[in-house]
Amino acid sequence: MFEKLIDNSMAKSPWIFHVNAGSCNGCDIELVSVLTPRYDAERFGFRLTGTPRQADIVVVSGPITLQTRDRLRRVLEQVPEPYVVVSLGSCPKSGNVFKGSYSIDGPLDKWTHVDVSVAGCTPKPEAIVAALAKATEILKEKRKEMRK
Amino acid sequence: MLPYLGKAMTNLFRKPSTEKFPVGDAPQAAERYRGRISYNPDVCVNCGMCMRVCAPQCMHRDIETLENGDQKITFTFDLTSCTFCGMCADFCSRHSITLTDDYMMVGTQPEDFIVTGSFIKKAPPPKPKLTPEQIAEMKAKAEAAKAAKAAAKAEEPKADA
Amino acid sequence: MTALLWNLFYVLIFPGLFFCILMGILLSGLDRIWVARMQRRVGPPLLQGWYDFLKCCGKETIVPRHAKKAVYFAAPVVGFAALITIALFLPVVGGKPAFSGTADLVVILYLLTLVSVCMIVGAAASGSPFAGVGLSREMVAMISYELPFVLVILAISKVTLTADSGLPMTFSLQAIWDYQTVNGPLIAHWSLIPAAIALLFVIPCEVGMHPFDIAEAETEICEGTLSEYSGPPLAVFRLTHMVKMYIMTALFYVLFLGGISTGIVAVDVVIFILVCVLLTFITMSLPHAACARFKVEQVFQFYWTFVAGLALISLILVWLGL
Repeated sequence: MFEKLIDNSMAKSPWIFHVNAGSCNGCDIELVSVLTPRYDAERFGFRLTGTPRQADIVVVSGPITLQTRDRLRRVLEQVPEPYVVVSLGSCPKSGNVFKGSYSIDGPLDKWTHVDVSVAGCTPKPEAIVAALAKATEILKEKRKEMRK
Repeated sequence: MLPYLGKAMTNLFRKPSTEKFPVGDAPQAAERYRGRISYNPDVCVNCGMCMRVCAPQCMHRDIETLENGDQKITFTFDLTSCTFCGMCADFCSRHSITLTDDYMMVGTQPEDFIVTGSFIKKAPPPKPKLTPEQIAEMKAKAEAAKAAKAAAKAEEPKADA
Repeated sequence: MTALLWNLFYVLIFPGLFFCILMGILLSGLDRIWVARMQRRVGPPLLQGWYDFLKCCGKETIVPRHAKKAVYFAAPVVGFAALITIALFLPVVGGKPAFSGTADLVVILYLLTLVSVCMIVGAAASGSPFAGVGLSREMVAMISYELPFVLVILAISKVTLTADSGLPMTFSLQAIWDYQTVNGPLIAHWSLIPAAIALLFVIPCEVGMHPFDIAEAETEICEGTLSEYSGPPLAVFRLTHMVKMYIMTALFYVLFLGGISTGIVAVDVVIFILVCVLLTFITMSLPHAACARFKVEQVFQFYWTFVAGLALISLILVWLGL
């Protein structure tokens, strides 16, 4: 029963950690706006944490530049299981306009599993909220799988 | 700090300004919002202008030759690679590419972000076969035309003199 | 045998573990909802603290390579146990604490410090540079609020000692409660009003609420002291934070608003809970919504000049016999 309670709480209290992997700041601003009064993600228990150790959802924005690649991998290694990776905007999935640049080592799929992705340059906050809602469902599923 | 305290206290008794969104329908995007690409292959003329102007090279063209000589042309747009600049739609002379106001591009699989469309490009009708008599006739015609031209050239200097 | 059962009841149910957790979750949930409403947001559900706790229990625990494992795991548990012990000394209902001593106010002071010290020790054991910065800030915060806190307690003990109520000694919460039953709540004592205000200012810093959360600044030093914690130890630390809100408001209630008793236990408990809720709103939600986070030196300056000054005024007035 206690395990079931934990499963349910998993979806009710997801904490976000945001990694900027060389983003242009557009997606970062939109992600912050999700926590503002208008879109208030805190009503679903979302909270922006400062450390990957406490994160449940890792949001990655930006194409993976050579400078951020190693940091990104280190951050992802530090996140405790179960966790979900969300790619924010077009950049992490493909490189977007930076595709083929000498300083890009993407896409994100090369380095980790991407569970939910949002397209857009930048996505609207509503789309980000929908993606985070989807991510919480996946988080719950992952927790159930981990228990088995 | 005091004015903020006052503001906080008045806000406590006001309605929250939060949108209901994930509970109900998604709100309408702004006018002329550039969202999900829609591609209408029926009017496409395969000029390839969109591929030239696309900065992130998000579209891909597959040309497949069918048995009867026709070509099946498939345009694939990868939305996770698109910047939604709208250049392709602007340059599309037949308005086959448009950017809709659907911004809800959320998915877990790569297929969720693919917009694709294909059309058949008819091969030109085969050229009619010529008989040897026809060829001889055409050759003779060409010879005659050549001779006439030479004769005209020969007469020209006389006219000058 | 019955005495043992009663003691178990005190420790586990009321006013111990269960009641503390319940109140902590209630107060932290209310605080988060109020802050959200003051910012014109909807806010999280009331039981959000409970969900956070359960979720942290279900996560994997990663022990850093440089951590001292035994201390790393012991620190949150010891801190939480110390906090629950404080609850047993508070005579919240009917003026009867579960356990009382001759100088339990001093014990409470030590135990409250122990909670912060456990956080510092845990952070130091985790071996992270961010935790290092966080624990140094936590120490600064401790030094800041301990001085006014001790001054307030001295003032109160002086009042209850000199009063003509035939009490043998002070520093006993039971005695302070009895004094208030006879002479009315201490907040009505005009020379103690500055001390009451000072204690109101001490509460948010002691709990580590927003404008004074210099040790856990998530945007600048990655959650500070908690930056290496994950999983169940983090859950216990979160719970400690929530229960501390209840302990501090209850302490204010006992020190300044005690002695009120209607005779019916249920009514007393309801009044007590309402007072805790009100104090949470005044001391934690309002500053959270109206202030940005203070700098380290600002916190220190604020507590050693303004708040300590208030407490000192009160102490001088009391010593002059006013």
